Amino acid sequence: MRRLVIGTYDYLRELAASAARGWNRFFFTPADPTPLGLIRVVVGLILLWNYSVYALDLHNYFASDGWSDPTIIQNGWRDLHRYAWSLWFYVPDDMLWPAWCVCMGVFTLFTLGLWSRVIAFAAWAIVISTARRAPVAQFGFDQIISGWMLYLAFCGASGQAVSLDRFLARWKESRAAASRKHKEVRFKITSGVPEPSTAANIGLRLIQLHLCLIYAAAGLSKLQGGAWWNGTAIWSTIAAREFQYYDVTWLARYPILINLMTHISLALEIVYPVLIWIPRLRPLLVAGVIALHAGIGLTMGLNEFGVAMIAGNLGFFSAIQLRSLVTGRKQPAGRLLYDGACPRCRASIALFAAADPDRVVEPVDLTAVDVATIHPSLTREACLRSMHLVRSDGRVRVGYDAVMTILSWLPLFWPASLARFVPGAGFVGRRVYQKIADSRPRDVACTDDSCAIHAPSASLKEPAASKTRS
Amino acid sequence: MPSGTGKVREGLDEGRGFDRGARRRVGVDRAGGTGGIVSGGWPVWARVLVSVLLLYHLSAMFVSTLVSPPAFSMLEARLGNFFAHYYELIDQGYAYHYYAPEPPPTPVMTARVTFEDGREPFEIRMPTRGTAPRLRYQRQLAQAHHLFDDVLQTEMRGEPARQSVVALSYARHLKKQFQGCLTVEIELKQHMIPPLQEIQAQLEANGSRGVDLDRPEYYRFRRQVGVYSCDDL
Repeated sequence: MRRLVIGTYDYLRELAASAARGWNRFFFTPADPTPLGLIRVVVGLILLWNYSVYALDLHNYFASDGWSDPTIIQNGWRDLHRYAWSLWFYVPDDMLWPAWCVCMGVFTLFTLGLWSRVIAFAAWAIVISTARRAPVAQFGFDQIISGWMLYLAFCGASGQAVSLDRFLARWKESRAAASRKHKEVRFKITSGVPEPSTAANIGLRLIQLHLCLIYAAAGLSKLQGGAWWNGTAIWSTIAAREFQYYDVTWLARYPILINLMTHISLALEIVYPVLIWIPRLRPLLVAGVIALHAGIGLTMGLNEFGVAMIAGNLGFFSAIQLRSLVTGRKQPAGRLLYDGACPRCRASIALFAAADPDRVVEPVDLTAVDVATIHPSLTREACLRSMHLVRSDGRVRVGYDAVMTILSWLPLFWPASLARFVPGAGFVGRRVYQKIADSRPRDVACTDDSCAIHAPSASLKEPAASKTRS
Repeated sequence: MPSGTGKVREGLDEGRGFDRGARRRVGVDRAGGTGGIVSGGWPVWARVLVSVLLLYHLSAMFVSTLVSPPAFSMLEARLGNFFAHYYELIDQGYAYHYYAPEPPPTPVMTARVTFEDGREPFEIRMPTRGTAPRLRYQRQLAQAHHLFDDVLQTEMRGEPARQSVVALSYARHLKKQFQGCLTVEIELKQHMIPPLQEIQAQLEANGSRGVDLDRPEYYRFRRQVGVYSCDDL
């Protein structure tokens, strides 16, 4: 009997200790904030779109004579919800448009990730306020967005990656590194990979768990309905005329296909919360739910709901995989030879380095190396004339083309790189680049042939500068 | 929440995804008790405090998925009531029982505004077909859903449908939209989903012409919620 009691006690003690260790590891291990940053960007874009659509009915939803009459909502509805609050209750009708502009400003900053800790709270407060002010217009999409916003605001880590906050901090750091002139051959700045944080881990864990709860609740509650057992429930969603986006009632000719879709979608919702934790199965499950939400979007037009759910699924993505989507697998993708004696060049490199999501570009100070060791075709004179980018595949880009290639590699500057497709942009760009390069100041006195590039009278044409060498 | 300044600076990309290799890289000592586990440099009191908050929140979220029609226990209801204020504060407490137990028919609201000066009555349908963008249309669908739910709840309380808070709010909105309004009539109906077999038979008969899901027989549960005098609104 004594052994039984002691054994039970030992078992329970070990169980509690094991649970505590597991809990600690699950919630308090620092994690890369990149997925959280991406969720913030997607949610921010959805919110901008959402409030653009609200603008079409701003007075209908938020004015005192709107669909949700404030006296009725507050007296009839809000009495039942004493702790439900909304900033919109304090906005007079003639201030609706300025208030809407403030909301859009907050969402823009939230998406960009500027002052993200404070702004995330402000964005969350707006989302909650809207749900309370116009409760009659809310549906599943708003529930999901409200959940993600809660975690993005309270974890305080949504701006630790993929944000202007981080870019500005890194730019400051890389400018400081650049200002140390060319004592170092390479920039000694940190990698673009964000520092893991516990706060980011907690935010991601909450999103992951909440997502599992949503799928589990949606899946298990369906088990009460006969249509989900007899395989016809999907028919009821595609034949709901009021929801119909594309007419796919022709699917009625293929009842087995409808059965299959019903059973697969139900099974997916039920198994997702369990199997998503197995790394090997994760891509399959995420692909499955993306297909599910895409299908719902196509047949029922619930596009925003689908995007919001997919945004939550980003929480299960590996940060390495997410980064490799923009950086490629091979790092660095190129080595950039720049004039370390030129403050303007160093400032440019600092900007590129700050926007680098990992180690896509490796800056190399050409004044401190033998450029032929970087690529046999390079000469010091040519490199002093223009920036040279040696790609990992051996190809060399020069001057304007090097700049455009780097811009296209860095997600933050990628939109600017589209300028190269404008007719005539290359012609103008190469000349503007060379004009700037030729007139650049340098830290050191001219003592060698490269001084020629500073001579105002010297018309340094760049015979091969704008071409791509192999 | 403070940002973690963990003992480990890199190699944690998979830390949140149960990557054992990553855990080894960050020095997680599985056998060494909590003292050996990397915890982002957070002091014990912070971890305990956050753990208590997380437990409360996760319990609340779990309970919210249980307390929803058609069936929940008295225990679940009490737990739901326990967290009610928390749900209100943070706009949570949703059950997420989408299309359960079965995809339901779609409520459609029609409102008719009549005028004192004999003008032609104005009719509005919610949702209005062709409304763009789609999200705007979805909000109209939500409006009809909320009205339908509120009317049902009002009737379940033994009150007439016209006392529905949402119906009254809609009627007031329409009154303020139309100067000289005499009455606002609100009607609800449900757009039913035709059975699969019925559509199969229609497809057989019609060939490639498809089916008409807007046939009058697919609208049921027609009921007048109320006729509101604009003077009384």
